[in-house]
Amino acid sequence: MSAFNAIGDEREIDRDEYTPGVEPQPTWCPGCGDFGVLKALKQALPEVGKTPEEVLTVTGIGCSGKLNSYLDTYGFHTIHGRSLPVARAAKLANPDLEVVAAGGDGDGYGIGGNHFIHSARENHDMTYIVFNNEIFGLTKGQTSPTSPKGHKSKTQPSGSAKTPLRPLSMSLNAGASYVARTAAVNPNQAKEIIKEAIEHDGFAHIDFLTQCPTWNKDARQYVPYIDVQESDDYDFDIHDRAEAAEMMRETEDVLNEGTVLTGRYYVEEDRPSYTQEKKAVGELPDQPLAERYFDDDTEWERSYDLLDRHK
Amino acid sequence: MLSEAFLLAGSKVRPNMAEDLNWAVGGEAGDGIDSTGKIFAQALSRAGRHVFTSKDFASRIRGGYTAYKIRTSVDNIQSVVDRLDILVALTQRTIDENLDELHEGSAIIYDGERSWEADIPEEMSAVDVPLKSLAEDAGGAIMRNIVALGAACEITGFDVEYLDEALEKRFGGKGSKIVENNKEAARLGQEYVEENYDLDLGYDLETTDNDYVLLNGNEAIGMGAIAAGCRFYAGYPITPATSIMEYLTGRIEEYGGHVVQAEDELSAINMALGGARAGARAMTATSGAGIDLMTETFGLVATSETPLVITDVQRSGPSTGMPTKQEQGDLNMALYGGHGEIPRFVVTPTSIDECFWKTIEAFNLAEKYQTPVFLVSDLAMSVTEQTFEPDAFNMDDVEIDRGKLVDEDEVDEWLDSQGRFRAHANTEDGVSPRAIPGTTDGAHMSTGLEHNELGRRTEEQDVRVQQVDKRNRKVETAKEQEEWDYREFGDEDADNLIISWGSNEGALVEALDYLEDDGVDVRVISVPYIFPRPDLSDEIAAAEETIVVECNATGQFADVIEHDVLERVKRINKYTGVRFKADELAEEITEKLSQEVPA
Repeated sequence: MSAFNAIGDEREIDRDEYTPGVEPQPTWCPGCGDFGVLKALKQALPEVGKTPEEVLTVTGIGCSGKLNSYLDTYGFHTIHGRSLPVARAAKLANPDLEVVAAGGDGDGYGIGGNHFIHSARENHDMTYIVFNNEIFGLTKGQTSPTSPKGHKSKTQPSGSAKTPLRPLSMSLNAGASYVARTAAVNPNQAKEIIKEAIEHDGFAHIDFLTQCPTWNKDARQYVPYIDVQESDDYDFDIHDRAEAAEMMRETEDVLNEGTVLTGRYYVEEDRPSYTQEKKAVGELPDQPLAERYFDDDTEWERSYDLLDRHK
Repeated sequence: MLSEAFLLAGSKVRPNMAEDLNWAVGGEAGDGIDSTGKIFAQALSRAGRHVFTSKDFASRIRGGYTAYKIRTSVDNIQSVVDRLDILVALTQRTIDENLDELHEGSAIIYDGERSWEADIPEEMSAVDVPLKSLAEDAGGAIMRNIVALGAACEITGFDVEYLDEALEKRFGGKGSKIVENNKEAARLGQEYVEENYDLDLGYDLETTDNDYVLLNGNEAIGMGAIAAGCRFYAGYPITPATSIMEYLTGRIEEYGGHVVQAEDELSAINMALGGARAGARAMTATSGAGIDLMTETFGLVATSETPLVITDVQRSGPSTGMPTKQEQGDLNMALYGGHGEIPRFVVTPTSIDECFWKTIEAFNLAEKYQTPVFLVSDLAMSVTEQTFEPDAFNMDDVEIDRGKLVDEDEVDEWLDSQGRFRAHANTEDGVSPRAIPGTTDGAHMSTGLEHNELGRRTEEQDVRVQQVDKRNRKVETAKEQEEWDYREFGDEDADNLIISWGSNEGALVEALDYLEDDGVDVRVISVPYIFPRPDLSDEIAAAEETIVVECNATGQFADVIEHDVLERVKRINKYTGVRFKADELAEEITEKLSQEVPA
């Protein structure tokens, strides 16, 4: 039994519990893909049996950072690019929490890129949703790490000279053990993928295509989309790293040509998470760090013996 | 007991007030200098002698000279002095680097069989010991430093058996054979000097039955963190803060805690923040450029009202500066770092035992007031090993106060009319309740954006003002509710007032003896809190002269003091990269007192 009484609560959960009374209606622009993430998450969380109070959502800066303002869980809104360190540490301190981090493509692949690589490498047991709209939306339309080459903006008036970052390939190479891409325009697939990501024991990365109707008007609305698992045109094994890599590369290439491929790309079930690795070598106790304080027998385990070692 | 040895030292070396012995081992980096020094320091401590160590990483000449120095006495000592009595020199450079401190009564132990020809001033005792050969006789050349320790024991009249326990501690993990070989190596060194030299330098180290502990400032911070209930530490390696992380690793786990090595300092502080949000007492520590990166997150910690201890072990800057050298140059960073106005506490331990207590206090302040606490130490303290009575770290005196942490029963008192938790409730004392994720009815948002009582972002002017005032009010509450005392030494009624912060305290306390000897009457105030800080207006008004002593070039604390009292003070600044020594400080104070106050 957890010292935190909301954790492990087995009751029926209504979707509406996730809608905050304060701001029931998001203020994203009409037609924004971010609505799709929120909706999918609100559906997925009750379906995997999580109550709002055993969930911690950690967001970055950008339109996507408002996600937890519209989702009634424990929410923490960090500074630009730093959602992942906060989220994964919270998970370490209390592994019984369901931790979901979210941010935009600038937040996750740009300013927070180093944290993305290392969170994936360390395989922390959490879900990371990147709202990928290939643009900086909140600051009004500058070129982002995933903007296509040649993309024109106020900061790149002659068109971006940079080839876009490959989020799926980067994730795979960094070490994420679940990698998927979905799109706001495909709500059913999005919900299922979020459920899988939450239930996956390890770092689950979802590159979530979220169209920006305001600042990326030239861009696709990500329709029509193709689910690589449903389509007969694609056949690869999501448990095979080489095949997954090839499929990811093709997916990233064709996005800029107008073909929107989505689905599960890589799943590694057996790879131990950071927590499991550390527990196995005795560097992380079975009891969550955050719970120790509520154990009356602990008596803070004063460090007399530490002092003895200095004699 | 020291005989007349120091009287032979000549005019350039000033006699010491405490009857002490100054010993050093020096060579190149990689010669095992640190571990050799530490073994001797431990042996002296176990023999009931006080020990105060320092490290030399000289950069005057190309190469990797390093030395471990020990000052030892039966009296309490807390500073280094400019005198060296026994030197184990593994290189000629070790001798050259220390010529200023060596004197006629000094003995230099070296290995005459090695390729370099020792150039030792005639007036000193050259003690040629075949360190390598004797080590090989004992089982391996690697033990040559231990042979030297044995030789040093003979010269100082220190029973070689005292080394045994320290050798067991150091090599116990490598098996009894290694331990026995080392004990043998020490005895071979001792016997060689006994048989081949008839030295009477007058050194005869007295032992006592006192039971001391020996630790450095970073170990004291690490031990304080564990005692304070810190169960989550995130860091990124950087000199000289790294040894806090190394101390915690392998120890904190025994208490149910965890240490993570993050990918950079940006991540380290945000991970510590995440651990704190989830309910663990959390800390990060860094130095140099690391604190620059962490500055980004100071405001988020304060605005989200998260308890966090951020330790900065200052080193010489700016930029990469002199990473292994002493400086107290980060005070402004701790006081003002970060954009916007950030409520915070700045705690600056003034001695190694205070590193322990101030760490515990930092954790309590952080949780009681839900704001960042900067624990600012410095390199000199972090690498110095010092002996203390075990009572100086009496764990029974450790108190833990988690502030307004609420559980599922207490949450109800803090819900608004629609049942929403008021995580940033506008209370009288400024402190709001804190519910940890997983607590029923406690769900709430928290953000670096300005927000209302519920943690929901807002730009409404009245709410903005309410929340800024509320957060700042916590500091005002703390000013009233907590003790912000200074530490005081010397003559309370003296006309001359010396103010210091951080690790200069020990040298100042010893300087008092020299000053008294010279007829200079001084009151020393050592300040362990820079924000909030004790009001020194009356003390400064009562003094005829005030000097602020600190290890930086611009006088950052002196600026703060002048601002507080609207009066000019004199300054003693040292920024050579080396800490103050008691004797030089006494001279500087005397000289400064005779000068005019700057306009």
